[in-house]
Amino acid sequence: METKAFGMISRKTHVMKIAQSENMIRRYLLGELAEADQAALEQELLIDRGKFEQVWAAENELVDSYVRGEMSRADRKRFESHYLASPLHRERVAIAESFLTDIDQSVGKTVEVREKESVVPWRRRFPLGSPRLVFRAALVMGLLLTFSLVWSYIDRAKLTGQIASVQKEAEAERAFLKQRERDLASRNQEFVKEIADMSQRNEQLKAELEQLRRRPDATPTVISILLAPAPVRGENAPPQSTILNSVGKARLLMALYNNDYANYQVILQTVEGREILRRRTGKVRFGKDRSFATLPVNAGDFTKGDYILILFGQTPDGRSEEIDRYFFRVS
Amino acid sequence: MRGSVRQSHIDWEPTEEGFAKFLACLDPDPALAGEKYEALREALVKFLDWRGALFPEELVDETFNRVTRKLEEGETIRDLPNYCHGVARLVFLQSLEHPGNKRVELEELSMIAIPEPHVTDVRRECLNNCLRKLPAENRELIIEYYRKEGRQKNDHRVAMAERLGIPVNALRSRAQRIRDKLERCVRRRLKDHNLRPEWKRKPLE
Repeated sequence: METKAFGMISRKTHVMKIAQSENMIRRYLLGELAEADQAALEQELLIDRGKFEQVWAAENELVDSYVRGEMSRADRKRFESHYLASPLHRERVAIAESFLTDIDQSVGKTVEVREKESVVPWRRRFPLGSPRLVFRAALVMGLLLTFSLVWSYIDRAKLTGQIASVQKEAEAERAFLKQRERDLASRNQEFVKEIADMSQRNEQLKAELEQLRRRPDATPTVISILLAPAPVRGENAPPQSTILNSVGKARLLMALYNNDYANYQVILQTVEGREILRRRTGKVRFGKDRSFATLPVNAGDFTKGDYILILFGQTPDGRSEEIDRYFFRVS
Repeated sequence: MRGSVRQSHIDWEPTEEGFAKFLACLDPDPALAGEKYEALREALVKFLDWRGALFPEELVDETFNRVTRKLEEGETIRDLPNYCHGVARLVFLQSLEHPGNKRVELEELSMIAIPEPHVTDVRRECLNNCLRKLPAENRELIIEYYRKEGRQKNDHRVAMAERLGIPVNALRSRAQRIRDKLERCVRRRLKDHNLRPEWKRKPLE
């Protein structure tokens, strides 16, 4: 409320300032300012190019309104006594008169009723002559006056219609802007939510990253150990495989030679025959011809000692066939 | 100078160096200095015109000559436009001392000169010639700009500015410049016709 009132006051002050400035310019052009004020205004005009143009425009307006008889009696007197005292200005007014008369005639506007008899410029002053002429002139004036009143009534009605239409357009525009404002507010809320989600996700990712950074063994090393099969009788025994139980995770590899079973199974047991695990196992291929059955183990879980790993293959009819036995030591 | 200012300044002409100093005082950048010079000259001419000087352009030339001379003599001028403004006012007041430059009020004028119809015709002819000499777009603009009068005038000019896609102030400024050019052209042509304005025909008693 206060802001509105303040706005109105400031607008009023602004309008008053403009009126004061226009009045000052008019007085300057009509020679009504004291020398000091004239000099001060001119100094202002030297700096403010826009105001200089404004004064020039005001001069042209004065000249035009004088020529077209639109000036009040008092203004006309002041204009004639000051502005027209300069030969240069008289020439300017004469040129403007020629120019504007030509233009007015070219648009077919030869006569227009002036409310003030005295506003006719000095160049257009002429005696009316006989009373008959006066009567005719009065009649014409009367007719023109009536015509102008009717015309102004129609003009006013038209103007009222135009104002209503402009107001309607403004109302529609306001409604549109309000809707747009609502849409934008809703979109803004969505964005805020999205940003909050993203920020939360970002925090999570940061925390995960931090956790991963704190775990130096985040990607544990898996050691692959190729087990040598137990020799058949008469063969020289290959060196026995040894696994350190400190290595952690390990993958035991058992080479497959021309064995093409659908599935594989391993049984791990101690040399004393105690079964530790029995499990189906996968098959991995290295290169074109070599393939291995694999058994992932955690060496740390083994107690030190000797172990036997028996590899079975499952035939298509469901039978299990022993393929090989592997001996290894955990130390 | 038509004897309108002090005799002592008639024979003195500014040197090129002096004029360069004058421009440098307005702005170190020569291009900007040129623009500022034109703007200052236009403003001072209009000030003296509005004050009623008979030959404002010549008075401003005299003003610039005097200021340039000061600069050549080694005087330091801080605010050149303001300084020139002060000198221009002085030159104008001095010009009024000359009897030929005295202002004549209209009432007084009507006693000594009667407008002659043929002067108006010649003026109209000059005006038409000058209008024809204008580039077509300028001619159309100025005729269109002044076409309406009274209350319709402002709406018409606003609509015109909208149509041209320029602000109303810019349109006003453009119309003013064309009008000024037109007026100068008419005055020049009247001079060529050896037709001085009618109020100068009879010498002032």
